[in-house]
Amino acid sequence: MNLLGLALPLGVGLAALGSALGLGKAVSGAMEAMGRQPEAIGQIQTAMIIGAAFIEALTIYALLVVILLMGKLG
Amino acid sequence: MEAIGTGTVEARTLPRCAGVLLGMLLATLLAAVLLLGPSAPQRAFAQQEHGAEAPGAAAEANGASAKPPGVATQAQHEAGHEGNIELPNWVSLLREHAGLPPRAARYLGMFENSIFAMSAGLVLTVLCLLVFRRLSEMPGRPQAFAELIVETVDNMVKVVMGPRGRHYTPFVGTLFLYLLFMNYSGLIPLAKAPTSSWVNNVSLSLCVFLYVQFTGIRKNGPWGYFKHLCGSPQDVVGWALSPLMLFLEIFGELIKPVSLSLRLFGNIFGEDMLLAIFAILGVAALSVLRLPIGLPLHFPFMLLSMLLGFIQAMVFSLLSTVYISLMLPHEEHGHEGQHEGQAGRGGHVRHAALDAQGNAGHGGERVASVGAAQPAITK
Repeated sequence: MNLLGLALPLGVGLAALGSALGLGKAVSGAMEAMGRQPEAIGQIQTAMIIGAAFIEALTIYALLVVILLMGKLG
Repeated sequence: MEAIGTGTVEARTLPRCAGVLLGMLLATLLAAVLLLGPSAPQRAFAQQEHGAEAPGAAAEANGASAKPPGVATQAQHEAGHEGNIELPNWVSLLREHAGLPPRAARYLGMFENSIFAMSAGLVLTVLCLLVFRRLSEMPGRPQAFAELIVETVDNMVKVVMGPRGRHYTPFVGTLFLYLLFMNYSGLIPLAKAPTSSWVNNVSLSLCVFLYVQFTGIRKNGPWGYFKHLCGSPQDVVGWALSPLMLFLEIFGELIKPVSLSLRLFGNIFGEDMLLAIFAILGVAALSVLRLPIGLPLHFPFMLLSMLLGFIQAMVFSLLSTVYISLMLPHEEHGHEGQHEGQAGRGGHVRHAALDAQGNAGHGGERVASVGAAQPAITK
């Protein structure tokens, strides 16, 4: 019927896929660093959270587009 | 810090927290049921599909009111969200059921988020005044807890900016606590998180933006600030590229508050909507009974939103710290031999962080050895 109904979830899914890959890489790097240097856990966590916030923002933008366009469905 | 967070405190705190949470949960469910009625959810969903034509009870579930259509759509436009589901709060209840004149209801709708933001700030202020009215050398429990918070925020800022970051701890800490209170007020029944509206977040991130620019001008001087915006050119090539850098840096500065506010808005708004949808689902699941009860389907998401609210408040304040530290002058790192003397004012995050760690008394030996090994690494 309406292609937008397919496009919106697909868009979020694609954005989430990219973010998931990025987050996985970032967190795995942080975990590795924490394992290697347990005394620096606080700093690594802070840096990791900042990075994760930047990565996650991309999915949030996609979600916002979806929320904005949701009114056009149906 | 370890001494405060011992097991004995936790053993008593956890049941209490669980009790409070359970109370919140039941009250939220009750409010949802009272507002929607047992059979309202189906109508709400039907109305979602059919647009905004359905009148009456279905419109209530949708956050719109029984006002004339024109006023309702206008108010929704001003609130910046159309067709979203949210749990009822006392302002929206007042707006829809108190029989206010349309004009008053509209103004109430416009100030809905401001009311909750101000009440969060008010609660925070009163709590702080209560704690800090009588300070003592031997802190009682409230003071110890407040000191714990201050120390944590201070450490967080120091990790990013080094010892000179202490100057910015009050700003960042206030931002953090205010955001935390606003995010958590979404969990209180008959209240909503004001951060789930974009306008509120834009105002906060504009504060951060102006403070960052002000800090940049004050610390660098007007000429230094301009040079910083040109990308701190060192040689002819740098100056040749400076117009491009100027454009990029200004654009970058302007996009920061946008992304900062959008991130918070997206997270909290999505989380609130999730809570509301699952609360409605819980009511819908038992609607065949025609009883004012519902399944607490949104309980796991309340726990999730407690975590998310904290993380988002932290991310917002951390990013503000990072923006401030990016704006500060890039000081010379000093010769490595003078590390001990220079690190107090040194701009290098790594030096400063190591120094802060040394001050905190964690592994001083190791820090010293790392500091000694630094010349080899940097050269």
